[in-house]
Amino acid sequence: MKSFVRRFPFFLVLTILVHGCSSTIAMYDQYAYSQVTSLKVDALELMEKADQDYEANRREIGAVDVMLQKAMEYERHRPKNEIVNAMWAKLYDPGSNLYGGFMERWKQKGKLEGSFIENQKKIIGLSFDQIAELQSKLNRRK
Amino acid sequence: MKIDFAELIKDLKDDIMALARKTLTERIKEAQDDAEYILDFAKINLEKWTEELADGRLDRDDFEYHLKSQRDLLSLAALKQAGISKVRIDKFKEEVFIIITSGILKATGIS
Repeated sequence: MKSFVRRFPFFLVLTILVHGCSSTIAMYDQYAYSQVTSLKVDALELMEKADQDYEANRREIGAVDVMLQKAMEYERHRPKNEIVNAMWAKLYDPGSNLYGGFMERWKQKGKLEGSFIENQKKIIGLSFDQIAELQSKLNRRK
Repeated sequence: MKIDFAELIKDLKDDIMALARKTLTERIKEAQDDAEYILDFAKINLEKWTEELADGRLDRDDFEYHLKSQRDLLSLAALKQAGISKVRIDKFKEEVFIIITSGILKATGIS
């Protein structure tokens, strides 16, 4: 027992070191997860309309855009959420070839072809899935 | 009560090493399965687009756009994997903490 008492500080420091280092990534958040899955449905539904004139769909485009921005704003304020934020930024960036790029292309061209839309829906749907899958794997609070 | 300090350290080390091996094996398998799925999806698309480009059903501009989209999707998949690795590291640290505390409590006869 004496030996243990003498070495107790060692165990104490070891335990604190292991547990004291806080988590490296954000914890699971039900609201954030449901936002991604819900926005995926809205975004894909909107993309289907890209064979119509961009201007005629401006209102709906704006509505989905606001929802996306709200979701990203929520994510930005969650601690240790850099990876999820980087994923949203990539998806939303008009310079990328994901959701933001698709919307930009629709705006530039006025309307898009059905086969182009179908190909992009698959890729962008999977892109939303990447965020949702990471969100779903985040550790839960005990 | 006499505590065998060397034995306690050895037990803790064995348990932590076993946990590390299990965590690493599971993580590698999970990442491989995920990468396989995304790469299969990319392969199917690339074959389809190349064929469509060759017979004129897809123009060069759209072809290039799709390729870049695929590249951007792969970068999201890589970010997701980086995030899942962080999740596993956090879980590993939590489990190491449990191993150490329960090992100490057992050795001291508290639990």
